[in-house]
Amino acid sequence: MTDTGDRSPAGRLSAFLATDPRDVGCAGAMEVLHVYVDYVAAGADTARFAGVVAHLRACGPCSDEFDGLLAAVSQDPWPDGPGSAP
Amino acid sequence: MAPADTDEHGEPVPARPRADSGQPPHGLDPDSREWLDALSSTGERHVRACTRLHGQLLRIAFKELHRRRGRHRITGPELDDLAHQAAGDALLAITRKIGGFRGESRFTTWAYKFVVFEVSTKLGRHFWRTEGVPLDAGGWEQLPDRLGMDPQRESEARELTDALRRAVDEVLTPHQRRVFVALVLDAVPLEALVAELDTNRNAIYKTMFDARRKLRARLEAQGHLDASARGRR
Repeated sequence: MTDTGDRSPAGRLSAFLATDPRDVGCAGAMEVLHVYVDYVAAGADTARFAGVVAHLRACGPCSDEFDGLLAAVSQDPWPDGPGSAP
Repeated sequence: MAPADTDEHGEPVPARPRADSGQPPHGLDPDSREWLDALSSTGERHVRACTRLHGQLLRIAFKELHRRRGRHRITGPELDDLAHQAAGDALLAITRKIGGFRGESRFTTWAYKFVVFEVSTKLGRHFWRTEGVPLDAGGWEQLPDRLGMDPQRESEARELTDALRRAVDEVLTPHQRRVFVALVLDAVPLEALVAELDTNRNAIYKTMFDARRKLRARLEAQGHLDASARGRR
C-alpha cells in the first residue's frame, strides 16, 4: 500500500485501494529484481524501473523480497569468487 | 570471450560500479565471469564451485529466515532443515537456469534471488501446513487498525468499513472475494494462499489489483472516496 502519511480513514482506504497503471505485477518485478537491486545498491539511476518501483510500493511480498535481496548483497558486497574457497 | 565491460551499445561502462559512482551496473564483472566459467565446467572445478555457492546460499537463507523471524515461529532443527532445503533447491535451480543469466547484474545477486524466493515460498507453504488458511469473512473489526486509520475518527472509519464490506459483497466475483478476505481480513501470507489455491503469486496479485479497482470505483461512485484525489496521488 502506498503510504501518503494521511491517517484519515478516507485517506487510508484511498491509499489501500490505489492502483498504479505503471505497476508491472509480480512476475514483471521478479523477472528483473536482481538487476534493480544492483542498481539500487550501486546508487545508480533507477528511472527505467518505474514499473518495478510502482509494484514494490503496492505488493508487500515482493517488497519483502526486494528488502531481503538488497540486504543479502549489501551485507555481502563483493563475495569471493568460486576459486577462492579456503 | 568478448570484452564484457561495455553496454548493449558498445559503450564502455564500469564493470564493478562503486556505490557512489552513480553508474548503472552494466557489464560482467570478473567475479561473475569466474562463477559462470566454474559452474559451466565439469569435474572437480564444477564440484568446488557448487560447494562454494551452496555455502553462500545457505548463509543467505539463514540470514533471510532471521530477517523474517517476526513473521514465523520456526526454530531449531526445523529452521536448519528449511534453510538447507532452500539453499539446495536454489542451487539446483541456478545450475539448471544458468544459461538464462544475461549478465545484467552481478552473478551473485542473480543467484541470491533464487534463495530469497525459496525461503519465501517455503515459509508460505509452512504457514499453510501449520496454520491453515481460514477462508471466511472474519477480520472486519480489525481492518481500520490494519489500514492505519486514525483511531480518533472511529465513526468515520466504521462507516467506510461498512461501505467497503457492502462493496466486497456486491461487486467482487466469488474468487476475488475469497482472495480479498484471505489477504486483507485474515492476513494470510500471499505465498500461503498461493499454496492453498495451487496458483502463482502473479495471478493472486492480479486478482487483488482488479478487486481494488472495482472497489475503489464503487466507493467513488457512492461518494465515500473522492475521485478527484486520485490524480493528485
